[in-house]
Parts: sequence; structure tokens; C-alpha cells
Amino acid sequence: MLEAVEITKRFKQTHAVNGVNLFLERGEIIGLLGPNGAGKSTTISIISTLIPPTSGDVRLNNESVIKRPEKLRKILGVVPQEIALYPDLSARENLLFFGKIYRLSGSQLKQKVEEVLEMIGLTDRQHDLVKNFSGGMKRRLNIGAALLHEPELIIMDEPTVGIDPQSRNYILETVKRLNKEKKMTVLYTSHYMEEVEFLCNRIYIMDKGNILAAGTKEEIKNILSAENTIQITVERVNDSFIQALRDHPVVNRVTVQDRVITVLTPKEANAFSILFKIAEETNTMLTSIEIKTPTLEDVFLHLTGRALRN
Amino acid sequence: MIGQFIKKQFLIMIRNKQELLLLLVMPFTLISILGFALTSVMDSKKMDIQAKVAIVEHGNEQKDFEKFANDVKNVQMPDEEKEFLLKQVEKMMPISILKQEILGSKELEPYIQMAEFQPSELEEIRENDKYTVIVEVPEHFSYTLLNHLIFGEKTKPKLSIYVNEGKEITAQFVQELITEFQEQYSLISKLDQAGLNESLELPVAKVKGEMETVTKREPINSFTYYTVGISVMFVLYLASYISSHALQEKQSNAFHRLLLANVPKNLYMAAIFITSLIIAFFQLSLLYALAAVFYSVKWPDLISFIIVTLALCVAVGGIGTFLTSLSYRINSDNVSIFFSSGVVSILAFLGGSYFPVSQMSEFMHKLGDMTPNGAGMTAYLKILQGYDLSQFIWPVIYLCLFGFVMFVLSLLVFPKRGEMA
Repeated sequence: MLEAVEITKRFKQTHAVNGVNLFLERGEIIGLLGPNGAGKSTTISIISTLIPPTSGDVRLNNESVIKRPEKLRKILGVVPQEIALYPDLSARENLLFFGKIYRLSGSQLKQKVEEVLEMIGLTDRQHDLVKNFSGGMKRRLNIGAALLHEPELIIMDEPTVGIDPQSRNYILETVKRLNKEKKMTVLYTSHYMEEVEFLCNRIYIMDKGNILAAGTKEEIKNILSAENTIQITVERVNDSFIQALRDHPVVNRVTVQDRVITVLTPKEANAFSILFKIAEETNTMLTSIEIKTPTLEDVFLHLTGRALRN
Repeated sequence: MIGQFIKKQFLIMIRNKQELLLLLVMPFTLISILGFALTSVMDSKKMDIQAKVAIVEHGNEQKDFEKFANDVKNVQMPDEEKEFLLKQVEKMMPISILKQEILGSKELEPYIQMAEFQPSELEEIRENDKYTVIVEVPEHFSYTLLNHLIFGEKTKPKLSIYVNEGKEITAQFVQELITEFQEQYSLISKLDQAGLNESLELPVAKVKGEMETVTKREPINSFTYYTVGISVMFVLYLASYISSHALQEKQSNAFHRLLLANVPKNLYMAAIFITSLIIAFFQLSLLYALAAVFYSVKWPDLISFIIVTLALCVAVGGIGTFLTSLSYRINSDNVSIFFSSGVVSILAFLGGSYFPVSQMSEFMHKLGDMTPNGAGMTAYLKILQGYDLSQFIWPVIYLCLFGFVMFVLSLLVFPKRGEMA
């Protein structure tokens, strides 16, 4: 349906996006996972025709949309990371305005507005000014404004940033429902790997403007099939223990978060005995140790040496 | 679709009390304060008009009359008619009337001081800044004028009037007085000649001690002056208000929604232009309505008022779109802030919103008229003084052109796709 071919974007000396290849099939939910500053927003701005790439192409059904974006825009809904609404208008007034901008009118417009309000759960608050809404309500309306013209493809840029878990779940369920009931194709960017894992059929992992890995969840996790992820909890973090782990030849990576130390080791290595030995030598008290099933977070850690939310 | 932009902007504006305060309450408060505070200074009945008029005659009117009388004697007409004609003409020698019954009248004595000079003194008094107006009467003026009026000779003599540029208001007053005299004189002479005017009445008879009726122009009091001055100043703030909101639209990415809905750039700019124009019209209308209710600032010609207001709103629309384009290009509100906090004050000063700057010099007058608010103010004051639209059509055309040029410039400056992201 839609593909990005070798897209690159340079802002002066900065390479925001470096030869990204990405495709979406009709009816899929695709996740674009990466930390802040990875180049996700620039990538989707190019894909949604808001900014032209420095090089590369974006094709809709094999037709370039870089110079003629109108065709894609007709079937596209975009949920930006920012709250792209008018705070001094009510929820209903915002939807009516954006509906009319999409050339909807009369009873069709009213019906669509009612439908969208119902879908995002704001029917009861439709006459309230947006500036008085909670963060979650604003996010829901931000999505609603992109749904009025029933797009075939929707691009969502971190739609759950900064909201409470309840609103977050509501949004994730809404995205699932849109995909299932309306057969909407979704490109979903996030730095929350649980969201991407929950929603997406296929995932692209991105960092520093490059796609590091792509495939289904299983395919991506298989990247770690040669490694074990071991999570150690210590009573007190001991610098000599961490240094000894880092210096050991069978330890591939070490990350520390509070009292939890995550270590990647080759599958064939006798990791437990090595870890116990280092703990004993450095006088470190271990409170728990477990081998974890790899997550997307682990894959990202493996690929970049950094945690997703760092 | 443009209607939606207008509706949206209106809703946002009426819900934003701070902006409303700036655009409506503040100017009205200023009109009230300045109107009351400067009543004694601005009130035209107490205006200190002191015009010094110099008259330089190259010929001698008595000799002109004698020459004319000689001519009449040779004309074929009954002697009784000749005698009647000469008696009438003797009573209406133009320069004598101008000197004695107009410029030297008792009614105008408090305002005009007249002095006569020899032609040899002309250069000297022209270089002297003391005189507001110098009236130079060419040789055989009265003789030629009488021949023109009575015998239909083609040659129509003209008085040469030199105006002191530094004393523009008083000079204009004298100039209008003389023009009015010339028109009335010609008319009365024609009527008299046709036997229709039994009682010869010159314009000065209507003076009755009040200057404003001499020129037939309505006086401008302090409330009227500041209603116009402050309104044309505050309507400029609307342009920065609109551009500021447009930038917020961009920074919140709402503008991206418009782009994705395939709203063309030109349509968006046209929407900003028309929205500014309509809101400016409402702002001005409201301010003038309030001034009419509270301070009796009444518009003698509503059609001219609407035309001038629309022209001024076109200029404001142009400024609004231009500021929007600049703000989009540099992705900052600094342009609007600079305009509202600095440029508006300068324009207001030059345009005469604080006091009649045009009285300072001809240069300042011309400079003021080049500002949109100054041009608007000139046109408004002319309406209030009772002039016809044809007499202030240029400020109206200038305002429309100004708005149009600004709009075209804004289209050129507006960033292309990708340049603003």
C-alpha cells in the first residue's frame, strides 16, 4: 500500500533520517519504535508528505507522492505528537471545524462528529472547551480530529505521551478497534515497547535516524536467540561488581537501573556460576537472579547499548 | 471554507478576554481620557487660529473699474441699462469686497490680520515666515474678471495664493475662505446679471462670528479627533493579534492538519486576510458606535464612512497576512511582538493619533499620510468635516493598494512545504 524507499533527511549538518526503508500493507498495524530523538517524527512527517525528503521516495500503490501529495492526503489521517487543537473551542467546535476543512458538510458532518465523539468517549463533554480538558481527553480528541474523514491509513506519532494509564489503555483499545472494525491501516510510533508489542503486527526499530531491525515481534526477538538476558537484583550497587561484570569476556552488555542489573551473555556460557563468582569476589550481596524471556527493550539494548527510555 | 476560519477566529476572540480588553476596552478608555483631558486644546471653537494674510496688488482696482466703465459706454445697449450695470458693478468690485467684507470683516477680525503690500515687497514677505497666506492680485484682475463674468470673455483671471507650509491648518482655513468667496462671487454675479439676485448676498453674511460656518466644514473637537486617532491606532494591534494566533496554529501543528486536508496555502492566507478584515471592521464599528453613543461622534456620511472603514480594514488585513508570513518563516512570535510593541506606536505618532503631527510640517504631513493609520485618519476626518468622497479618494485608494501589496508580499514570503517544519 505505502512504502518509503531510502528516505533521507538532513537539517544542515544533522542527519535526522538516514536511508530509511519501510512499507505498510493494507490492514496492518506497524510499529515504529525508538527513543526520543531517534528520527521517528521526521520519518512520519516525510511519509505523511508534510516535509519533503532530502533524497528517497514515498510511494502509494507504487506512485510517488513526494511531488503530488494530494492522493495520499485524501486517505490519510495524522495524529501529531502535539495537541493540534484549538484550546478556546469546545470539542464539538474543533471537530466541526476540522470536518469542514475536510469538505464534510450538513448531516454527513454532524453524523461523523457524533460518531467520532462516541468513539473517543467524549460525547458527554463535547461542549466543554478543550483548554479545560485533562491530558488524556485532549489526546483522545487529537485522535478524533484525524478520524473525521474516515482515512484508510492513520499515522500516530506518540499518541499516549504524558497521559494516565486509563486514558492510555482507552487509546490503545481504540486503535485496535479502528484496525479491526474499520480495517484501518496504522503506523504507530512510540518509545513504549509494551504499546508496540500490544498493537503491532510488524515493528521497525529506529535509532539515530537508522532502522536497526525490522520484522514481526518474534523475528525481532530472535535476534537475541544467541544470548541470555539475566536480571540480577543486588542489595546495594557496588561499582567494583559492575566493573568486573563489564570486564568479563563472556558478558556482552551490562545496564544498571536502580538496584537491578541486566546482563547479556552468550547462551552457551555458564553464566550463573560466573556471576556468583564475581559477586563473591567483589563482596556483593545478590537478592535475586533470573533468566528473562527477551523483550523488545532487550533487543534495543542489544542493538544500541542503551535503554529505550534513556 | 473561509467562513469556517472566520467563525473559528471569532469564537476564539470572544472567549479571550485579555485580547478583547486590548482591542476594545483599552482604546475606548483612551478615547475617553484623551478626549476629556485635551478638550480645551482641541476644541475648534477655542482653537487659536491666527492667520496673517498679505495682499499684494499689481494693479489698481479703481483704474480697472474706470476702464471697464469706458468699455461699457461703447457697448450697444440702452443708457439706462448701462447706468444700472455700472452701479451694480461699482458695488461688487471683487478685490475691495475680499479686503473689506471678507478678510477685513469684523467677524473674522479675531482670526485674521490683513496687511497690504507693494509688488516690490513681494519677495521679501515671501521669504518672511510671518505670513500664513499671501494673496497676489495680478494686474487688471478686476477688469478681466468683470469682462469674463459680464461679457462672457474667455479669459478668467486667477489670484495667486502662496501658502505657508509650516502653518498648514490656518493656511488651509484662509485658502478655503478665498476659494469659497470666488465661487460665491461668480455665482452671485451671474445671478445678478440675469436679474435673479435681487439682494446681493456675499458669503461673509453667513459668517455670524463662527469660523466653521465660514468654511462650511464641521469642527473637529477632541472627542472626535481621538475617537478616530485611537481607533485607527488600535485596529493595527489586530494585525499582530491575528498573526500571533496563526503562529500558534502552526506551532500546535493545527496548521499541519490544514495542509493534510489539502487546504491550499493561498486559501489559508486569503482566510487570514478576510478574517482580519472582517474583525477589524467589527472592531472599528464597535468603537465608533460607542463613541457615537457616549461622545456624540456622529458620521455625516455613512456610505463614505463604510468605504473608508473597509479600505482601512483591507490595509489591516494586508498587514495581518504579512506578519503571519514573516512569523511562519522565522517560526517565532518576535515579529508580531515587535510590531505591536514598537511599530504601532511609531505609526500612531506619524499618523497623528496622539496629536495632529501634520501641523508640524508638510513633510510630516506627507509622511503621516503614507502610514495606513494616517491615511485612514485623514479620510475619516475629512468625512467628519463634511467633505465629499471625491475629495479624499486618494487615501482610500492608497489604503486598498497598501493592503493588496502587503497580501501579495505575504504570499511571496510564506515558506514553502518543508521550509517551515
